[in-house]
Amino acid sequence: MLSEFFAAIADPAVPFIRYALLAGLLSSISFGMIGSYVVIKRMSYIVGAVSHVALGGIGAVILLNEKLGLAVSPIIGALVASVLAAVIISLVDLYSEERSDSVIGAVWAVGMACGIVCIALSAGYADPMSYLFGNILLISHNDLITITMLDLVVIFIVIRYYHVLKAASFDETFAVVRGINTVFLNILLNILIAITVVLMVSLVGVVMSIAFLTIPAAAASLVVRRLSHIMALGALLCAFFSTSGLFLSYTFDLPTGAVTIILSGIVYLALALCSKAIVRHRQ
Amino acid sequence: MKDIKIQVKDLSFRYDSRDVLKNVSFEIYDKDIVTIIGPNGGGKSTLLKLLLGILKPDSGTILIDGVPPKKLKKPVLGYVPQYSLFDPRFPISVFETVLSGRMKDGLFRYTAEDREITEQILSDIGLAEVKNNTFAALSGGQRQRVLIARALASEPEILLLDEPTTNIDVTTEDYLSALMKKLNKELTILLVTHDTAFTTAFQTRVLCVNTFVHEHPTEMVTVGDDTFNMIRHDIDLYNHRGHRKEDHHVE
Repeated sequence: MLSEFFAAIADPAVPFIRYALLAGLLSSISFGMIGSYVVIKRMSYIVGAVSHVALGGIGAVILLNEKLGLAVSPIIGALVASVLAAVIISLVDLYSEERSDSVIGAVWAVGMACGIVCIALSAGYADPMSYLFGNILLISHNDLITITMLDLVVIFIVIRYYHVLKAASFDETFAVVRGINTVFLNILLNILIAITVVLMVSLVGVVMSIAFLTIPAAAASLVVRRLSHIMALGALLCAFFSTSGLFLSYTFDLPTGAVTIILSGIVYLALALCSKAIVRHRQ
Repeated sequence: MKDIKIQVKDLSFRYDSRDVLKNVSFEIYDKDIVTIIGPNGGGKSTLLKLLLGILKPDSGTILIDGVPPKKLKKPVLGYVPQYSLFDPRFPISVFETVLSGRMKDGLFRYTAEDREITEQILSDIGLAEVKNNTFAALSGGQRQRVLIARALASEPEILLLDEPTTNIDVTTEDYLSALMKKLNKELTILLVTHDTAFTTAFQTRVLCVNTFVHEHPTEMVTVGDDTFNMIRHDIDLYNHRGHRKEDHHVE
């Protein structure tokens, strides 16, 4: 089974498996890093919103491509829409009296609805299911380049802002008193989340990228206690999940995104049960 | 005459059209140690947030070293929040927490000097042995000390502590009052607290906040004094602490 999978990766006639593998491995680093912040700051609701809004961007690009005869990659549409959603959510959080979870919920649903309407309006064969749940056939060579570049941007920023992001996440009030621009940091983190979500949208889809930004880091936090360690282990787990998910889906002819998420869910659950048992044993 | 460190003049703050603080004026001098007491909802926390520059006054002025909190060229306030407000699962070590007292705005890296100062403070406060533990693995008293150490790491001139004795055992409380006395030689200290026993231990000035602010000389804050109906709750706590100490003694 394994040798067949490796043969498929090496086969020049089926580049998409290779692309999917590379996309998964490349994005894993960003997912481990940003996923750690999502988990420790309890921000998965924002991930849900920006990832679903990505569908709006994808739909808009598909429709525009068709009407204007363009050939823009849907990933670009996803990126623009997600980042926009991240900025809107941050600003509402900061300046509006409105309850932020209501606004996040509204942004989430409206963004997704726009995507569905755009896809319905286009005459092409685009299937919303592919974008909701991922489809490795959607990853092109150019997308891989985009993913690499975005990945590098996220990694660079996270490393550069590591100390201040950690300190401000731990105690925002203290950071403000120290003269730190926490408004900027909050917007920056939301934008980084939006970019990271886009990295895996083709592989696991908008719905399941929420799980992929929380499960590996949450599982890692059961095992290690330092933020940098959670990031590293989260990234390793993410790479393992995406690779083995791809392998299982290829071998058993099942949808990649769904198989990957089920696998990560099982590992997370197992780790959670084990860590409970270990804690009890220690007591 | 001592220098004025904090000057509050005609300060008012409203929340949802309710007066939280009204026409508040007071002055705090260099090396003062001042306790801010008052009932829940009386505006203690609001006053603290205004002093820290997190909230903006509706009217009136706050000057710290002669300038508004937001305009200070270098942060002079060392803020010590309540330890119980923190996410106990946050992955940060004791050393990293104290080191974060040295953070600066923008892109920065901690310098060797930052790390040296952190090490020094950790050993001064008696936390050197637990410096690699996570914040979550510490007892309540230790966590409160870590937060004091973090504020000290920022080399403040004024230390602001929010309910430092909440959920803290008697031993730590005694340690904290000794520490405050020691720190007061160098720093101006403002303590928001429910625990008047903690304050009578060092003859502080007492500001009672209940929408308005009244100042009481320490000697007058005694058990059963009718003039202090406003702070009766705190006096009850004082009595309660007396009992607790006796109980402790009997054990």
